Amino acid sequence: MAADLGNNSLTFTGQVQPKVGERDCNGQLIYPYLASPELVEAVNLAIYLERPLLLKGEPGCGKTQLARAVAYELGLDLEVWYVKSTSRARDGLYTYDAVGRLRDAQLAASGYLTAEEIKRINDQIFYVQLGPIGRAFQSENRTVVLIDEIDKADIDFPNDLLIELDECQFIVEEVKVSGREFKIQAKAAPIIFITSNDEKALPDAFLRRCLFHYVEFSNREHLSAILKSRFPDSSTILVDLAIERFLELREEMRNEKGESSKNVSTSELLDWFRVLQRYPQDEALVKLEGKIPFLGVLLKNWDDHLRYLRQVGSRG
Amino acid sequence: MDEIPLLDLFARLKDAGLPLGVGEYQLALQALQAGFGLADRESLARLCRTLWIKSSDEARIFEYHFEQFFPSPVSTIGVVSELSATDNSLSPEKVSQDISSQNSGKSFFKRWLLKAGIALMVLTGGVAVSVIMSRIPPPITPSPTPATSQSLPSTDKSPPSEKGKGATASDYVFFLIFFIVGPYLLLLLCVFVADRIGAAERAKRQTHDEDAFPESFLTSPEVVLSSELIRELPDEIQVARTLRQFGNSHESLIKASADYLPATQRQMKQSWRYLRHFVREGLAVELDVDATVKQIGRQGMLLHPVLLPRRINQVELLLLIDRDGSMVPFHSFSERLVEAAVQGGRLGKANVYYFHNCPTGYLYLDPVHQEAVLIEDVVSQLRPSRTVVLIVSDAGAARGGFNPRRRRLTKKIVNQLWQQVRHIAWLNPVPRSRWASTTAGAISEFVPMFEINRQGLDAAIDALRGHYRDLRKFL
Repeated sequence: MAADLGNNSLTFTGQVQPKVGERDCNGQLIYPYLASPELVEAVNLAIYLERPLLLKGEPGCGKTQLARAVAYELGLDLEVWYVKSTSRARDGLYTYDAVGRLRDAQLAASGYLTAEEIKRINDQIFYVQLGPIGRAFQSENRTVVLIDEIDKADIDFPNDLLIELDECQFIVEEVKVSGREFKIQAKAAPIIFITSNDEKALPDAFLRRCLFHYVEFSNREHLSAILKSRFPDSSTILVDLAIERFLELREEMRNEKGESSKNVSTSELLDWFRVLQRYPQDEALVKLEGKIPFLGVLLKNWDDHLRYLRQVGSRG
Repeated sequence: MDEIPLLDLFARLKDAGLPLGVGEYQLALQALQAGFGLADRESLARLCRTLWIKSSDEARIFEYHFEQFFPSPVSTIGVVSELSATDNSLSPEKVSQDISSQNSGKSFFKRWLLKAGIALMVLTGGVAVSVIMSRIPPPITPSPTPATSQSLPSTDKSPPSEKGKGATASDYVFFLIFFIVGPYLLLLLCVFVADRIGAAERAKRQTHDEDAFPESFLTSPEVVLSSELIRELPDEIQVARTLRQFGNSHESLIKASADYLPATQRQMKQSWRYLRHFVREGLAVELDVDATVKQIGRQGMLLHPVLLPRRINQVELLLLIDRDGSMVPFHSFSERLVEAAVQGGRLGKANVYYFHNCPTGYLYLDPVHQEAVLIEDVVSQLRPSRTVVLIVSDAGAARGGFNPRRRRLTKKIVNQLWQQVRHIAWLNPVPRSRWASTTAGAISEFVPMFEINRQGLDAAIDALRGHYRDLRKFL
C-alpha cells in the first residue's frame, strides 16, 4: 500500500517501537504501542484523506496512546488538547490576552515601560496565544493533534470546530494586521485524532466529517504481545498466567455486570503486571495461583471487590 | 456497479437512514483510488466502515447490507454471523431447500421408474427381436445341399402352415409387449399427471410464502430486517417505515406495531436543545471587556479586570412518564425521549419518574415500578424558579371514555406541581382527534397538551419555555 500512496505521503506501520525509557518531544515517557492491522489501516486512511479520525472504545484500551505512537513513528510533533467540561472551541485555536495588553498599555501611559516594551504593545500578535490546533496550523511541518475526550465538553463544542477543521484555517478576531484580518492558515493539514468515551452524543454534522474507528479490546495473543513489548524482561510463563487470570476476571465481571458496564481494561492489566513484576518470578507465580493479588489495581469499585471475594469464597 | 463502484451499497445505506452525503462517497472513491480496501472483501468492509459508520448501531446496519451485497463464503464472526443466523430462517435459498428436501423422496421414485422402464424396453425389445429372428431364418438362408431341392416342393405347402404359426408367435409377442409395456406406460402417465398437479400446488404455496416474506426481501431493493434487529436500530428507519407503511392513520399503526416512533432521536435531541434558560452562574471566569473598559474610564487606571460567571443552562427537567397498560406501544418512544433528554440535551438536570395511568401518592424511579418515592418528596425538592415538567401519557384517550375520577386526580397533581414549577406540558401519543369527549380532552383544558410528532414535541418544548398561548382563549 505504501507504494500506492506516493512519495510525499506518510504511512503509519505500527512497527516502529520506542526503546524502554525513551521520551517524546514533550518530555513524556513513551511506551511501545501495538496497533492492530485494522487500526493501522484506519490511521493511514485518515492521513491520506486528511480527515480527523474519531476513536471510540472502552476506557483504557489505548485510544489516547495511539496519537503518541503515530507521532513517534512518523517523527512528527504532537499537540495534545485535553478537553475539559469548561473547554470552549476557541481555546484550542487561540486565546487573546486582553488583560495583559490593558496592563501594558497602562504601564506605558505611566511611563514604566522601556522603549522596547512599548514597541511590543503595538505588536498586537504578541498578545495572541495559540492553542494546540493553532500551533499545529502554524507549524511548518505536519503535526499530529490529539483532541482527547471531546465528549466531556458542551455538546456545541464539536460544532464550533467544524469550519476550522474543515478549512484548516481560522481568523483571530481581536487582531487586525495592517487593516486586514489576521488569518492563521495551516501549511500542512495536521493529522487529527479525536477520542470519545460516548458520554455525550456527538452532533451529526461533526460525525459526518470524521472517520470512525472502534478500538476493540485485544485478544489473548495481542495482550501477550503488548505485555512482552512493555516488559521485555518478564518470562513467558508469568505473562501467560497473568493474562489467563486477567481474562478470567474480565469474563466473570462481564457475566455479572453485563456488556455495557465498566470492565477491567488493558491499561489496568499493564499497571497490575507492573506490580507483579516487582516480585521474583517464583513468588509472583505463587501469588497468581490463589486469589488474584493486588486486586485494588484492577477493581476500582467496592461492589466489584466484594463480589469477587464472595465468588472466590464460594468456590474455595 | 462495474462503472461506479459501491454506489448501490452507498445508496442502500443512505436509504437505511445513515447520515451520508456525496462527500462521504467521494471519500470512498478517493481512498479506493489510493489503493485502500482493494485487497479482499474484508478490507473493503473495513474501508467502508471507517468512512461511513460512526456508531455501533450504524455498524449493525452496515454489516447487514454489506452482507447482502457481498455475501461471505463463510459467515464471519460477530455481528455478521449473528445477523445471518437470524436471517437464515427467512432466506429464499432456505425456502427452496426446504421444498427440494420434501421432493427428494418423490424424485428418487421417479428416477427408479425411469430406469425400470428402460430395462423393460430393452427386455421386451430383445424378446421381440429374437422371436422375429427365429421366424425369418428358414426361407432366407440359401443352401446348396440336396436337402434344399428336396424341400423345394414342400415350400408350396409350408407357407400357410408357417404363416399360421408365425401369426400366433407374433401375436404372442405383441400381447407380451402390450401387457408388459402397457401398464408401465399407464403408470408413467399417472406419475406425470400427479407430478403436474403437485407442481401447480407447490407453485401456489411458494407464491404464498413470498407474500409472507415481503417480495422486497427476495429481490432485496429495500431490505426488511429481522424484528430483533429492528428493535435495536436507530429510529430513522423505523420512522420511515412506519410512515410508509401506515401513512398517517395512527389507529392502524398502534394496532399493528409495538414500536411506535413518530420522531427520530436526532429530532428529539434537536428539540431538547431549545429548552434552555441561560443564567450566569458559578465562578467568575469570563472577562467582561465592556465593564472593564468602563471601570478604567471611571477609575483612571486598571485596578483589576471585571469577570463574569459563565452562562449555564438552568432548566431542570422533570419527566413524568406513564408506563404499561395503554402506554405499552409507546414504551420505546418514551425510552428514546428520556435518552435524548439525558444524553443529548444540554439541560441543567433531568430527572425521570414513572407512574401508571395517573400519578397518585407515589412515583417510581424505574420503568418497572420497583423503587417508589412519595410525590410530596419529589415535589418539595423541585426548585420553583428552574424546574419544568413534561408528562408523557395518553391520559385515557387510548381507552376512550370519560373518567371523572382520573380527571380529578390528575387535576390535583397538576395543581400541586404548578405551585412548584415554572411550566408544565403534556405529550399525548394518541392523536388530538381522539381526545374529544375523553378524559384526555378534559385534562387538556387545564394543561397544555400536545400530540407526539415533531411539531407536537416542538410545541411542547415551546410551552415549557413559557411560550404557550392557548388558542381557544382567542376564539
